[in-house]
Amino acid sequence: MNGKAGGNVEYRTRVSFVWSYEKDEAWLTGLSAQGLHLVKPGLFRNRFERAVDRRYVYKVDYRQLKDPKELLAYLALFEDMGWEHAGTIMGWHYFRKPYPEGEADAIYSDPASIIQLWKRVQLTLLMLALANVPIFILNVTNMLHSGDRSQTILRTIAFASILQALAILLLLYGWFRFQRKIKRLNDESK
Amino acid sequence: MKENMRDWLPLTEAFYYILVALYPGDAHGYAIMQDVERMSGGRVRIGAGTLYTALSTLQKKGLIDNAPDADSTDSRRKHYTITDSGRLVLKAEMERMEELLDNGRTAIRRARGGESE
Repeated sequence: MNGKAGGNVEYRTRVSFVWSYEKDEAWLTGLSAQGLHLVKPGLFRNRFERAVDRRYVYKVDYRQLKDPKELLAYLALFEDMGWEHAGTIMGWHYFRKPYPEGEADAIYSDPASIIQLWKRVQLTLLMLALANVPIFILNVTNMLHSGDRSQTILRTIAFASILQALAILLLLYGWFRFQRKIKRLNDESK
Repeated sequence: MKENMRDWLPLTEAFYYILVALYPGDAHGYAIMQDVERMSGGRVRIGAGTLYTALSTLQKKGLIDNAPDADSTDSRRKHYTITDSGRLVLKAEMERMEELLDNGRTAIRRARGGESE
């Protein structure tokens, strides 16, 4: 064991989309096989620890738990079932377990609960998209009824509005991707 | 409750086995999972996310409830107890499955009888 944590710590970043969160799990599990284990997920960079003597399988769950007691009960249940909590970011909980010899453990074992998970993510995407709409409309109406504003300000507002429109579209696209996942799983399990 | 009890049926295996596991007495999540695995001879293995989802759904709909803390040694873990609604839904599901089994067995018996004639 190295007393100084600094030597073993590395940071990695990965661009990923929420609808392919399973790829993030595979990425983390793959890095762990190479001796790089996630210890703290971050918004922009993830903190890893290097150790060659172990290997984990990583899984993520999405759930907004505002009540601290409920969060403790949730984490305790995962801990009881062998899942170590590596961190939480924006409602995404990261768990790991020593890499199994045989079949890998899933945290979701039936289609009904997977669909509930995806619907929770969908709801968040939809709420974020909808929350952006009034501000977007306000900006656009401001732009249209502003004879006395300078060109620079108008251009800035226009640029911001385009970015916002893209963000809304991306969120709705994410919602749609999950809708397709749900439909496919529903068809499979029939 | 009686009206929308049928909305629950058929229960998923996880829901069904959780209600079965809680029928004899209160338990916390992990004990329920172990009990289910034992009862099903290892066939039904409920994942942590599925178990948490199922427990919170059943609780929200009033089929199970938080049990008063039996031992105060562990305040983090939640204990669960089955409610009267939970017992009713479980029995309704068992009757439904009994009907399925009865009809299936009758059909097989009749087919066998037909063969020998």
